[in-house]
Amino acid sequence: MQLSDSSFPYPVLGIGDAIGGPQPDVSVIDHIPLKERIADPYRWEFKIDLKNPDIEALIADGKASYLYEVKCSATFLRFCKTTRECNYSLELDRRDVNKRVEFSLWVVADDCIADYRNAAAHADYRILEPFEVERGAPLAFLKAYHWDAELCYEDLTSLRSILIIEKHNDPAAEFPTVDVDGDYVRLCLPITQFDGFLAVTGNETAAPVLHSSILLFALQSALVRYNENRERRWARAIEEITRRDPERFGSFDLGNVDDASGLALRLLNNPTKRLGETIAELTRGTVRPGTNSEDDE
Amino acid sequence: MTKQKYFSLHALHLLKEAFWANNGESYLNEKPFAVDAFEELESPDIDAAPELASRIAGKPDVEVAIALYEAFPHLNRLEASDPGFWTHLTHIELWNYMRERFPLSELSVEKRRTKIEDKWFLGDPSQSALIHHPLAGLWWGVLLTVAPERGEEKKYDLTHILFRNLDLPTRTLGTYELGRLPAAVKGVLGYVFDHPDLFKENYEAKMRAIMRLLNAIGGVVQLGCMDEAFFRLRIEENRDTWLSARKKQS
Repeated sequence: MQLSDSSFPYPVLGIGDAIGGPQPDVSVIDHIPLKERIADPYRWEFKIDLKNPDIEALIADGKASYLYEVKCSATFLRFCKTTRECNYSLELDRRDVNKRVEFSLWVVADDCIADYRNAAAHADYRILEPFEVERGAPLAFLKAYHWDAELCYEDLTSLRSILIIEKHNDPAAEFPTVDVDGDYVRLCLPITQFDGFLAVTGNETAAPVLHSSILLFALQSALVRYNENRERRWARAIEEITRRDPERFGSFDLGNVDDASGLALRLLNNPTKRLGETIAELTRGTVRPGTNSEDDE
Repeated sequence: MTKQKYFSLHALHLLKEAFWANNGESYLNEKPFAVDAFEELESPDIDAAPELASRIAGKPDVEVAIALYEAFPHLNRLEASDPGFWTHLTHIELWNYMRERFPLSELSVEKRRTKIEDKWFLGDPSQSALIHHPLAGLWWGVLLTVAPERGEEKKYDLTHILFRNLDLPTRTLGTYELGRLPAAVKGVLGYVFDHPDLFKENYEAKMRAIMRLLNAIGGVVQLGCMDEAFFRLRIEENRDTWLSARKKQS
């Protein structure tokens, strides 16, 4: 369902400014069973505080319900559950979903409502009241939420999970290339550069240099092509990394190419700052070139 | 009973690299080149279907679809979206079927590569990728339409309607989110089945008009909570909007 201010001839809470006043609060908690307990389902707990007395009254009167729509493209799944409870626990069999699972939460009319009014509706709607709302029509759009079944057990704290550095196929290649057409971001280095890379892998001093040069290049190249590759594993992994840490990444829009550089810098933990610190320490002679480290990306 | 094998993720990667490396020349071989050449895993749950290849040879799509579904009736959704499973079938068990269904020998190298990539491989599983795959699309088409409630002899009635014209499974209903709703699929196809006289002519144009109608309704009503009767009723109520649909003259 595509949504805009003009989608409905009556006010729908949560779409534009059709209904003002306090807006709904929705919280969701994932319950992911241990990987080896394959019979246990995935479970989500939703808590809704609607904050709209007119719609709450319709639910209490049995004229409307909360509706949870679940969709998974990779397994042709699409179904809805309805309830009149504002707290709801939703379960999915682990064998029913693969990759991205999308949830959307609504309040819908359970039957035709002939005289719908909402006291908090925008003044523009006043002249048209009351509204006739048919069965299944939305009264509120509460939340869109997605989650990834393929990545939920993966350690996404390191970019190793999505980034591969390898030797270029073309022996005459002078410049690195970045291939994003598969599950991983593949940085293909010309042969001499690749040999140089292997020689310093694990070297603590070299890490900031690598991060602020070739890895930053690879990640930026991938992020500017995020939109046309958003269903690929690497793109979904980056989306999951950013979703898990809204404090660090919440201000970035993955679909906006203008955010690619800033996002790449944060994903690599500000490598240019670390590079500057390393250069300063090398200059002062406090770091011995060639120190090996375990925590190289 | 022997269990079905499938390719590991690593094998899929190597298989695709091998395909690119020789421009798909191995696919001109009469014998399946991938046998014993790539890492295979054995499913603990899925029984192999040794008779399948002979059952589907030379058959039309709808019969292949039903045979494929009956060979693997208990695949769960996760298994049925696994590229390793379908790619094993195209490269090993159903090698001859694939070569007969999609002849390669007369094609240019470029067209051969495209054909192999499209038909023998399954990319990232999604509704669109699965429904366009020559085997997965048939299996999923049956899953969406099989109706045991119609009785043993009639349970594939709606499957026959779905595959009557490939536009419906591969360009409209099968690729739309509407096509994931069992009630919508059975409502639409059931209506067509019950009104054969209305669909004798201009079938494709009428079905496209019905899809447009339901998509428009889905823009303002949550279709996921509707039953089969709702879809039948809306199609009947709006006969005027689709009954006169004609194929556009080019």
